[in-house]
Amino acid sequence: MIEDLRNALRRLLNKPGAAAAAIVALAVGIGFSTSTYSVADVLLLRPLPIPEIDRVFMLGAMAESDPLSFHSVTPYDFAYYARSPRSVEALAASRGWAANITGAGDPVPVEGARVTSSFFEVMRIQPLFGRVFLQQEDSPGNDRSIVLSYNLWQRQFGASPEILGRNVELSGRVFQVVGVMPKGFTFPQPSDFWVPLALSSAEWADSGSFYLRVCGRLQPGATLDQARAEFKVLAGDLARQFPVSHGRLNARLELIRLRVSGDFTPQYTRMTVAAALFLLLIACLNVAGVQFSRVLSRTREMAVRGALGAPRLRLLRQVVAESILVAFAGAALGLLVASWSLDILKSSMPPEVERFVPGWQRLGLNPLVVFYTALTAIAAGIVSGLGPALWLSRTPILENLHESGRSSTGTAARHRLRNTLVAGEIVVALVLLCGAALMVKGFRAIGRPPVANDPARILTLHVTLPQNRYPDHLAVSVFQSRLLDSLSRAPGVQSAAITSNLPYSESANSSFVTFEGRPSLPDGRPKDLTQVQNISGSFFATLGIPLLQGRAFSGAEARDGQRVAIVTAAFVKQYFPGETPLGRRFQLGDGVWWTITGVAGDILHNFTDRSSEPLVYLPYTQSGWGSFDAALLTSGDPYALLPQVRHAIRDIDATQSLSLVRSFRKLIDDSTTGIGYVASILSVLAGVALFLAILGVYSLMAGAVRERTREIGIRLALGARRSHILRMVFREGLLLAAVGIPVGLASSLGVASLLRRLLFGVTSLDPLAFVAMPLALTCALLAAGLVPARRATRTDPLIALRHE
Amino acid sequence: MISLRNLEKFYQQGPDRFYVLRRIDLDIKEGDFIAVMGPSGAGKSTLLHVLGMHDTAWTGEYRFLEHDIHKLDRKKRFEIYKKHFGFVFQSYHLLDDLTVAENLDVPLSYRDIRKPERQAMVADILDRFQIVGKKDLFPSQLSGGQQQLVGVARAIIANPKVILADEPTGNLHSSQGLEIMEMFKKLNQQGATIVMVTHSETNASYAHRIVRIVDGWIS
Repeated sequence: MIEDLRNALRRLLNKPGAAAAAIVALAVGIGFSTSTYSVADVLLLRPLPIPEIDRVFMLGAMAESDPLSFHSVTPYDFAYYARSPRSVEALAASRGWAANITGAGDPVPVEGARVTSSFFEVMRIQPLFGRVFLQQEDSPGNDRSIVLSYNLWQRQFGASPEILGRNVELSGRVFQVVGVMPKGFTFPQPSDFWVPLALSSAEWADSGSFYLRVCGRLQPGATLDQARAEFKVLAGDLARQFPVSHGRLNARLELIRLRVSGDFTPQYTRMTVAAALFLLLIACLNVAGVQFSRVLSRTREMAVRGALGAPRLRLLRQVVAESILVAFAGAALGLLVASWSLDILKSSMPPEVERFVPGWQRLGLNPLVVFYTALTAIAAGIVSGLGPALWLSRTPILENLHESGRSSTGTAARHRLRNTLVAGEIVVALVLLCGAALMVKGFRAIGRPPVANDPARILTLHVTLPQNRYPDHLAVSVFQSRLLDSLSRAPGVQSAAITSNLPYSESANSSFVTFEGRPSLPDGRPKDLTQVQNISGSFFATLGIPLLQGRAFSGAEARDGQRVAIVTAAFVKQYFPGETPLGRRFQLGDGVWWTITGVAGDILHNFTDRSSEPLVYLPYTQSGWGSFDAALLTSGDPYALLPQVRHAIRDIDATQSLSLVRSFRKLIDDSTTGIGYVASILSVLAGVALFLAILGVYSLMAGAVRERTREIGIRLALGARRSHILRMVFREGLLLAAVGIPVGLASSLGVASLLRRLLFGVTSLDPLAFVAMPLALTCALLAAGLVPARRATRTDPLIALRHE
Repeated sequence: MISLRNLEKFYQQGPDRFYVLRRIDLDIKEGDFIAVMGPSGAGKSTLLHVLGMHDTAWTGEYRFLEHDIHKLDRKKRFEIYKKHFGFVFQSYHLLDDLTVAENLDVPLSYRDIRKPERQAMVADILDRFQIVGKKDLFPSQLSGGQQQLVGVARAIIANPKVILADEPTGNLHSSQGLEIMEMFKKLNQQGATIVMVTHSETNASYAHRIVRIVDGWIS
């Protein structure tokens, strides 16, 4: 084999032109395949540097009506779950905490987690230095330890080696640093720090508040399915104990590596890996075409070798060896392409989004990725060498000796194989083009603002009030009213609003709803669900949401007065079809009656929403909590208002900071970053695929013209017009398009229907994708054939007849 | 050593058969030197390729040593060919990318011979053919005669019993052709059986026997 490789190397060096084209094609294919594999490596395979990551899972509550839901659980649920499962080694709970580092100059917003002491037992990750929490530290009164993330240690404390034992004030509470975690570990995402989750006995008994995120580690040898079965039984127990709140909930267990980035990331990652493999396949088909030409030009040599005793297998090995060598050269160059494309990927990721993508910081080439590249190169070499090798194996090589090395046999088979290769390229390229068109159109659709006002003129920010300083709704609403008043009066602000969650901010609250005069389910459980959002009356004017009926909140709604609500058109459509909703009353599980005083227009709250969900708006003065967003409609650049906004907050509470300050446009863009990445990656892959397909058709037709030079010369000598020749040459390209495009279209429709769950803002039968793309590809293929076809028409009959 | 009985080869052309070889009966003894002559298109080269088992589409009987070639499958025929035959081409067919020494090594590399042994055999044949000084040259750096000399050396390096030569001097000047024929004579004296297709009466005079073919028939 070494000898085969050495000979192959020599041949490649002797005729570097064709080899270079093949190497570049493979470099592109292998490069993009490697970079998408690198992304898959950090997002799917090893998103967190946790030992034995496949034993670690996340546990959530799943609504029976929505098998994809993954809600937090109550403290009672966690305590109940933690008792018994035999398949689980350790179970831990966590709760996010957006706090401010206070006590040293301006408050600095940070996000971390309160975790049970078992958290680090589940993660099994050792601190860079110091220690993690002791068992007794997650009890009230003992919860003063803090573990810092590597990033916070670097960013806020200048990587001080004397950090251990230092006090850190978080939103007015003092913690002592006991450890620093290694670089790359941030879970739950994003985590700047970890403090103990110290709940009182009363809090542990709470079965109505779903706010704990749970993760666990399986016993050695136990499977996830065993654990699922055990937790299903426990969830059944809870449903029997609490039929109202838990009656329709089940336990959902997923491996942490597949769950940590959300539901869609793993699927989108698989989709881009598949797309990159498609591109690699096109590159292989392209290289197979090049190799095929090389094999053809070596028919004489193959015949001589056969006559000298070369076994057929040896000849095949020689062809494949050459392909593998080309593939390895392509892989070496492909690593550069991968490194370059990964750099672009990393640098284009907004920091606001990167914090939520586990493993992203580790994105890059590593030994595993290089190993994958080597495997890919071998596979690509075999795939691209196999076609020519198979053709060779069916050709009676020795008989070619009769013809002084010129093959007169197998012409039809040769053309068939070459045509099949190019038709294959057209099919795969069309699938990629249609997929990319669907994603790009969908991405552009979901990027359109869900509200009427220009999102670029709306400044949004997030405020988290610490519970120790703002213990009840009254304290929170007083802060909110003062802030609203101050912001509304700021110069340049047309309208200011506060809300529990902005559209596209990926947070939502939902609640069961019971209507006055309508029965619940026989067992007393409520049967209807709605989303709930707390707002100020100016919310609709600030964002540009129409009020269809009734009136907006005045801001004077008192908590002890009549509770009022504005519902959306989707709510009315679902629960009051054909009825007047104004004046109707409902409860949201807390026993309080809310009266409908208005109906607002629908908006989509997430790009993943297929349609508007029923939604209830409640006045912030009557309902809400200390974690909220503010929105300011400005007359100019929203960021110019930032100093005034900071000043307004500081005037009310000097310990408060702002976080997630950005325009509404940026918020929408950030929330769709992931799908934007997928659309961009697919577009690049599809563009390269198109280029390779054009190259394939060009090579094919150029080769065909070259082979038929004599025939063309004879035809011209016999009186054929240039148009005859043009038609004759074009016919071959058109035939390929006529075969490849319908097959590609059918394959694309199949693939789109498989991926319809991942398509947003566009249907899987979008005409742009399935009409425009085939047309564009056909035009591109015709253009590719133009050069060789024109060359054929310029053939000089006299020269052509001497050609052979 | 070689016995052909009622051997025929034809091409089907519509309902008709176009015969290239017709009822060939031929015996070749070990150590023979046979010249096959005839006009162009008579079937000389076809006969040579049938003998060399390159051509498998024929009917009749072909016996070589103790083997009934007509009863063997392609793989077994190829093994016999590899073991006992060497082939010299009219247009040399040296591999352009390989040096003289590497060209000589090619047939050995297909015969499971260890590298040190192969190197020794190549050195020996270079010496025998007095082309040691050319061992690192590429075919394009040799004259036609020198190329054919390498072609002959390559044909016999694996010690075949039979050398098949298809117009071995067809592309050479007469002096170069003479050199090659002298080499064949020497090889034949050393025990090789040679079957040579030629148009040249001079070359044919080196043979023990001349087989003439006209329109596929042995005349």
